[in-house]
Amino acid sequence: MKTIVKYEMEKIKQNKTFIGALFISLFVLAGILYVGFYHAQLYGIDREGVEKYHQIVEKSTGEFNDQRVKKVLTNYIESYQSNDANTKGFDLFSWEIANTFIAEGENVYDQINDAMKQGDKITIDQINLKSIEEIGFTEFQEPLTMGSFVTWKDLYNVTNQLFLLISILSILVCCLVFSSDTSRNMNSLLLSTRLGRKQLTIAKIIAATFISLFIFLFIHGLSLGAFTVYNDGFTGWDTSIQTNFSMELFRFPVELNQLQVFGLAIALQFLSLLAIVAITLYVSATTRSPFSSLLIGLGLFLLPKALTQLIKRGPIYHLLNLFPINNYSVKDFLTLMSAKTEFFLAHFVQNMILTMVVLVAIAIIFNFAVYQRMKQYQEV
Amino acid sequence: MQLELKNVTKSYDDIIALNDVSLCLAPGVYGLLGSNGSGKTTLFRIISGVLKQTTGTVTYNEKDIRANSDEFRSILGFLPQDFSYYPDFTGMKFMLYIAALKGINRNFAKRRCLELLKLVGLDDVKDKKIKKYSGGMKQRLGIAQAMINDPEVLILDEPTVGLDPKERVRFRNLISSFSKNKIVILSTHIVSDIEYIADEILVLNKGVLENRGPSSKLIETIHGYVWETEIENDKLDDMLIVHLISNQKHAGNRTVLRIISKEKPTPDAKQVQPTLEDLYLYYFRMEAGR
Ligand SMILES: Nc1ncnc2c1ncn2[C@@H]1O[C@H](COP(=O)(O)OP(=O)(O)OP(=O)(O)O)[C@@H](O)[C@H]1O
Ligand SMILES: [Mg+2]
Repeated sequence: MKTIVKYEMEKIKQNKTFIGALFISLFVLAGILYVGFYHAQLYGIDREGVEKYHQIVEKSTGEFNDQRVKKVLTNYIESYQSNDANTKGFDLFSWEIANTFIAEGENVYDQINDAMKQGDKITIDQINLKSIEEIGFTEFQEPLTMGSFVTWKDLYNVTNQLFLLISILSILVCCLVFSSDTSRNMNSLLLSTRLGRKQLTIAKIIAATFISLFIFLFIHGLSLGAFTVYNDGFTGWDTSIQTNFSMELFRFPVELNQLQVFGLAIALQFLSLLAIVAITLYVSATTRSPFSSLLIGLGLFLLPKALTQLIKRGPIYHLLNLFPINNYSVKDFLTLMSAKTEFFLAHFVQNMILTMVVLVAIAIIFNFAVYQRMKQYQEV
Repeated sequence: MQLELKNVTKSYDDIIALNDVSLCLAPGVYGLLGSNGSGKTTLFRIISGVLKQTTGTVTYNEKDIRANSDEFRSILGFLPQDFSYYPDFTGMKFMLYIAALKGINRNFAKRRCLELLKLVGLDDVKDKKIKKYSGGMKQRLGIAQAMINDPEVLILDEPTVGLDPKERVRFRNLISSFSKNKIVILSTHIVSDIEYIADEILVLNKGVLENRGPSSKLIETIHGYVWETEIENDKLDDMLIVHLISNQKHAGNRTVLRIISKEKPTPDAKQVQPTLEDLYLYYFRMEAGR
């Protein structure tokens, strides 16, 4: 069995389409990581933004309460009005917090600019701040934690984009597995050997799943590596997801920190990938050419998204939201799964578990269907 | 050891590819003779279990091969008619892959594959990628892979296509030495390939098994039907229209014709000894483009 798996992996790796796609994907990957972590907004014009960001984060990390918010905004207003070039520069961290808490919103900058023109300064007490309670942050036993969040939002964005890349690459791998043998007319030979119906099918499923998972781990590994450089390690891992002001999930009902959210995203992507692999393998086993199985595989992957443009409520809509393409993005699954109107169940955790169970079930059912089909395969 | 087909019929949407074929095969070499589209490949795919017959049964040692397909496949060797290899596999790797699929232990597989590659004359190119093989080399690789598991039932669909005369001889010897106590069935259009090695010839015509028997016996059925006559060249066209010609040899302004006909074609025609090739033409004259 191990030997057969080895040969099946080799068959995939030698495929020209796969090699080409891998090559292109490396460029896409480099592009995503470059834009996400190296060309990020945080760097600012002089590329010192990240360093300043971490300095400000360090001063601001801790328990999330009105005093701390006020302290952050005090420093922000002050440095905004100071003429010291060192402290000036765009401070994305505080800017997001200001957007959330300053009642006047963006108008406050006009006020400050007017005051500055007249040689005046505005102090924090002249500005109308909303309280945490007013905004409606979810409260738990323990207070929320504030800390680095801009970098984490960037990590989430990159993670979302990588899911599309990984999925498309995996669909490409899996659509080849059976249909390329069919299109070479190899089936009469393979399926008339002793292990050609049962063990070979299992070996192909294992090989495709293995390569897909390898792609998954490799790409996310690289991404995490790039992130730790960008984010200076994992700082901010324990920041509550509610206080990620860029994500605007203030009312998110479950106590989760940013690392836990990332873990959930990865787990969800992992199971999604298993389901995508199984479905695509089934498509591959039922089509005669790799090209049509690629088209159908990609079509099925994207279809639920297209359907949600047409159907926007009701059980079918709920069903569509179970599919990876509708919930792969971090913000999407956090919001969708915590709303009864978007998902089958009332609570985030229940919906998350339901989704994961469904994904695993899809993976098992389709892999089994592939096995059954190849076991009984007849030429026409 | 006995392979038996009972009333096997296979129809595709609108054509009947095999029509009520019944056949019982004991160990030996069988040559399946049939023109293009006569159903040879269809028959082989049914026996190897990749195509389901519409009606009828195929049994091996009295057990249905579909019900016992795992068992049957382990004693089966099959070379399909047309498929494309994995271009980046080497010959040896392909052999080892098929050996793995046949469930053969790794160490033994290696020895067995080397031995077979040598037997089909591919040992010096075994580490070359298949995309660099010539047509005949691929064909020989196909023959070799079918024999890896030392099958009791060996089915070869047009194994000699693309082989040069030297390789044909080698192939015949290989089959002859392999076939003791085995059922070997091979199809071909090239009559001479099976004339020497086949113990029996099966004649398949438009999906119907028309005749079977040792070649000498079959040839006897057209005894007295083969003639040779010498004619003027200007009468040639008329003769070609009227008669089934199995050979023509030009000599100056005259031509020697070999004619298959129940009646004496010309007054001065002489009866000659029929060959298997004459027999083939006799059976498949329609397709012969008379
Ligand atoms: N998949 C198919 N669908 C429909 N008809 C088919 C199919 N495969 C074969 N046929 C038809 O069945 C008949 C027998 O075909 P088969 O391939 O068995 O002939 P053959 O004797 O192997 O011919 P050849 O000498 O050309 O290889 C032909 O008329 C062919 O057109
Ligand atoms: Mg054929």
